[in-house]
Amino acid sequence: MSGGFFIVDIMTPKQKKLMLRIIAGVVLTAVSATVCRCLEPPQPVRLLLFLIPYLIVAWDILVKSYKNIKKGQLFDENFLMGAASLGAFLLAYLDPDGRGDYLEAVAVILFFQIGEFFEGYILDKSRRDIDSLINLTSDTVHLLKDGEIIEADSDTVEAGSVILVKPGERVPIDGTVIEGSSSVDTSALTGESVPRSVDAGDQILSGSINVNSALKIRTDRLFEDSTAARILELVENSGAVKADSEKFITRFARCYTPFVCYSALAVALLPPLYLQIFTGAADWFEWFYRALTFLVISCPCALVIGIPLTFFASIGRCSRNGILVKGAVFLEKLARTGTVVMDKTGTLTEGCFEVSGIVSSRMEQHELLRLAAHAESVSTHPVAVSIVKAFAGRIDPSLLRDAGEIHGRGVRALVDGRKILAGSAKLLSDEGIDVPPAVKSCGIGTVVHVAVDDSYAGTITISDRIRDTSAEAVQLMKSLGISRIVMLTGDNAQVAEAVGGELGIAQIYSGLLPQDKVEIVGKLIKDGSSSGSLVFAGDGLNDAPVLTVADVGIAMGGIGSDAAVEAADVVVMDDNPLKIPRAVMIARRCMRINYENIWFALGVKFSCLIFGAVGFTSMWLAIFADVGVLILVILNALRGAWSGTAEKLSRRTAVNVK
Amino acid sequence: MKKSYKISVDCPVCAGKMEDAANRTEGVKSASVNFMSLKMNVEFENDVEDHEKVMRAVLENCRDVDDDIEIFF
Repeated sequence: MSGGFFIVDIMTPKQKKLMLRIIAGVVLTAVSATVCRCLEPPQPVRLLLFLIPYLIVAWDILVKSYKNIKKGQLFDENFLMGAASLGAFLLAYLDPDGRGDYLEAVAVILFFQIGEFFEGYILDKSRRDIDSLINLTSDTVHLLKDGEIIEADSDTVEAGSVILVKPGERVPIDGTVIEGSSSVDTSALTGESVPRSVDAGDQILSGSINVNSALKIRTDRLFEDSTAARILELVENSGAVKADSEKFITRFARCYTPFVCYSALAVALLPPLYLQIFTGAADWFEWFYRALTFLVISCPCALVIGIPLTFFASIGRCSRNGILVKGAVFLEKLARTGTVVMDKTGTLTEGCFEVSGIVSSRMEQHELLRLAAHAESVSTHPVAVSIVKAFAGRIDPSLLRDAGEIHGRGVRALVDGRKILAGSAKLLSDEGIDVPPAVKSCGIGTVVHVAVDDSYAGTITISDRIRDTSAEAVQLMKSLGISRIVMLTGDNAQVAEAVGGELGIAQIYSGLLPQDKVEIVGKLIKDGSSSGSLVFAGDGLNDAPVLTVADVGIAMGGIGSDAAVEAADVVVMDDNPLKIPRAVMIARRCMRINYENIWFALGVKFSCLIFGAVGFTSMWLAIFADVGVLILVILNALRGAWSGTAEKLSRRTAVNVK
Repeated sequence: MKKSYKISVDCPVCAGKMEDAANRTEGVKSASVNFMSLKMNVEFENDVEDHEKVMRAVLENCRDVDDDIEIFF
C-alpha cells in the first residue's frame, strides 16, 4: 500500500475527534507537568491538574468498561486500561513520593489511545487501498433509452439493455459492443498491460477501461453477475473460513488476558503478604505498582489485529498480481505447498491447436498442405480447422469434388482432380495404402497422414503450443523447494512425455478421463499428506471436481466457467502459469511476517511481565510493551502488501500478439 | 438464502463476538463475520421470509455484546 500517512482529509469524524482529544490531552498534560514542576502545588491540586487531561482522553474507555462490566464481560482491554490508569492515579495520590506519578497515570491512557488511533487509521486506510484495487464496479451507467441518455443505477439495468461507455470510463456491465471501435485496458482484470482493440461484435468485460472512443454496448447480463461485481464479491467474502493462525490468536486472546489479570492480582497481593508475614515489612505500594504494569501489558491487541491485517495486506498484494484469493486459510496452505499438480491443456499449453510440422515425401510441403487443406475444408473438426488455418491461402471450392468427412477417421476428397485422403493411419490402411511403419513426423501431436492419388504422401502434425512461461514457472517452483510437480492430461502418453520433457516435469499421468483426475489427485494427497499442501491448477472447463478435492484449487484464466470459480479457492485472472509460484511466494512471505509478529509480540510481552514482576521496570516499559509492540506489529503486517521478490522473480508475462 | 451485509465494528475480538451472537439468533442458519472487509454473511433458515426481522434480532444480540457496532440492512 502506497501513499502518505496521516492525511487528515480522509479521516472519519470519529477518528478526527479522537485525534483532537489526544492532542488536547498531550498539551494539557505537558502544561500540568510544567506547572507541578515549577509551582509545586499541594496534592489535591495536582490531582485535579492531571485529572482534566486524563478524563478528556479516557472518558469513552471508562464508560465502555462500566457498560461491559454490567453485561458481565470483565476481561476486555477497556477494563484493563481503565483499571490500570485509575490504579496509577490512586497510587500517585497515596504514595506521591514513592512509586506514584500522575504523569505516568495519564501517559498510560494517552499512549493507549494513540495506539487505538493509529490502529483505526491504518485499518481504514488498508480497507480503502484494497477496495480501490478490487472494486472495479461503477455505481451508475449511461443507459440509452429511446434515443436518450439516462443516468441509471447499475443494479437496475436489465440484460439486453444498451448502455454507453465514454472514453476514460470503466465498463460497468459485461456485454457485447454494438457500435463503436476503441481500445480497452484490461490490465486490472487480466494483468495484460497491452490494450485490446474492440469493435462491433466483440465481447467486453466490466471492470475494463474504455480508452479512446465511446462505445455502445448491449449488456449480456446483470450488474451483479458481471465480472467486476464477481471479483469484488470473491475477495470481499474471503475470511468466512478462519485460518489456523487466526483461530489460534482468538483462542490465545481469550486465555491470555484473564491469565495476566489474575497474575496481576497475585503480584499485588501474594508477595507483599508473604513478606509481611515472614519478614514483617512489605512495600505494598511497590507491589501494587508492579501489578498495574501487568495490567498494561496484558492487552493482546497487537496480535489480535496484526494477524488478520497481514493476511488482508497479502490478499491485497495477490489481487494486485491478478491472483484472487478466497480466504486467509488458502494463503496459509499455499505457504506450505509441497505438491503442484497442473492440467496440461490450457494451463501449461495454450489450448489451441496448430500445425507444427509437415513431412512431405513426394512433393513441396506447401503443395501437400494446399491439397490437404482443401480436403479438410469440409470438416469442422479442430484438426481440420487448424490445417485450413495453416494454409492461409484461399480455399477454392471449385477445385473440390466428392468431398466428405469420415467420422472419427478423417476426410476424403477430389482436389484439383487428384484423390486426397487425410486422416488417421487406419483411414489410409483401410483404403489399401501402406503407411510406412517408422513414420517421420515433426514434433509430437496428432499426426494426420496424407495420401495423394492412392499413394502415401506425407504427414501433417498438429500440436498444442506450450506457453512461453511454462518452463520458467516449473523452474521457479523447483527453486522454491516444491518437491513434487505433476502434470495431468487427457492426451496420449507420447504428447504428454514430450511436453513433460520440455518443461522438466517428471511425474506425468496421461490418457486421463475427468474422473481419473479426481482419483489421482486424491491418491497424491493421501501419499503426500505429510509433505505439505497439494495445489491443483487448471483452466476450468471440467476441473471443478478436482479443484474441490485439492488443498488449494487454482482456476486459471479468469472468471470464466462458473462451476470452476465456485469450486476454486484461488482464481488467476490471466492464463500465466508463473502466477502459481508467485502466489506461493507471496503466501510464504505472509506467513513469515505472521510468525515474526507472533514471536516478537509474545517475546516482548512475556519478558516485560517477568521484568515487571521482579521490579526491573516502570510503567513506561509496560506502555512500550503494549503500544510500541502494537505499532511495530502493524507496520510489519503492512509489509505484506509491498512488492518484493515474488514479482521480480516472476516478472515475465506472456504477451499475446493478436 | 444467503445475504451479505455491511457492518461497522472496531476490534477483531468484538467481530468474533458478533459472529457468535448472530449464530445464536433464531432464523439464522449460519453466519460469519469478516472483520477486515467489514462484512457479515448470513445464511437464513429455509422457512425465514422476513429477513429484516431476523437481522433486527441479530443487531440486538450483537448490541448486547458491544454497543458500538452497526449492521447496515
